[in-house]
Formats: sequence, structure tokens, C-alpha cells
Amino acid sequence: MTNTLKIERAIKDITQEQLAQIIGVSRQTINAIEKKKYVPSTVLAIKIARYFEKPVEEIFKLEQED
Amino acid sequence: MKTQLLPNRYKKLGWIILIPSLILGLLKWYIINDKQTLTFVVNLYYKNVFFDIVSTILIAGILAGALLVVFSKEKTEDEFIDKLRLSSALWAILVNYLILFLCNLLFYGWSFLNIIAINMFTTLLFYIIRFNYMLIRSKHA
Repeated sequence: MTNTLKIERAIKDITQEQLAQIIGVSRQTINAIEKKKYVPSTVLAIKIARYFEKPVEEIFKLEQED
Repeated sequence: MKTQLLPNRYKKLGWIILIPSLILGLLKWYIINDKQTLTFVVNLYYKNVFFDIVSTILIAGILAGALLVVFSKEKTEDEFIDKLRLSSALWAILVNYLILFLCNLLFYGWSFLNIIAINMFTTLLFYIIRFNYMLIRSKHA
């Protein structure tokens, strides 16, 4: 699973900490997602996509190995 | 997947019980070599069987302290920490049993009994070390 979270975050110009607070998770979670070390749950992925006002699959994409 | 855990304040209590018990235990079982210090022999249950109750108390302290530390929530709980918790637990179980397997082949008699005695604690202790290590690593990334 790959994601464009870092780019989206840069477009909206907010820090990991700010995004984490808005969504309701820890900064470590956002960081781990961006580093591709953690695949978020469906609920979390939808929450993130809602915040950026984009469809989920525009931000979170399946990779070949998935 | 929300896990049922104790409130965060029990974690501190766990550490307060665990650390002194561990230190006293190490002192008593491995460092001090005379039979007098830190022992209190009592005669319970059976007429002619004497045993040392300080050992019992220290083991209870280590186990209770470790259990409280392991099963209390962190200050901030979210799904990432849930995953960390699960993977740390599996890791600790695996490492514990691998080491035990090797020790069984390499040690015999009283040595091995000594090892089984330590094995009482090692799964919980490995979990505590691994979980906190992964937590700190994720904070510094």
C-alpha cells in the first residue's frame, strides 16, 4: 500500500502534529503512515481522506504486492 | 480492535512495584552469597517444611509489577500503538521460547532448573523492553 499523505499534507501546509490532532490519533501514527511503516485501518483512511476532501483511493493506493 | 486495558495510572504503580522487587531479587538470588541476608524462614502449611518467604514476596512483586506495566494503557492510545502492542507480544513469546529451547539443549540438572526459574519472568520482561523500545524509536523517527 502506498500513499500520497505527505504531499497532501504539504499542499494543505499543516504539520504531522496538527493533522494528528485534527484526526484524533498520535503524531507517531501519521509519521508511520507517511514512512510506509504502517497501513491505517479503513476507518482511519476514510477519516484522512475526508479531511483532505478527496476520495480514499486518491490518497491510498494498492501496490503490486498487495 | 480496541483492547481492554487498565487505566494509565496503574502503569506507574506497576513500575514502583516492579523495579525494587527486581533489584532486591537480583541482589538476593545472585549477588549476595550468604544464607542470612534478606531471608526470613517460616514454617507454613506443613509441620516440618521450612521455606523462605522473602522469595515468595519478591516473585509476587516482580510478577504483579510486570503485569500492571504490561496491561495498562499508554497516555495516548490509538491503532498504531495497538499494532505495536500485538507485535511486541508475539516477538516476546517467540524470543522467550527460542531461548528456552536452546537452554534446554545446553543446560542440565540444577543449571536448567535455575533457568526455568528465570523463565517465569522473561516473557513479560522481553515484552516490556521490546514495546518501549519500538515506542521510543517511533517517536524519534
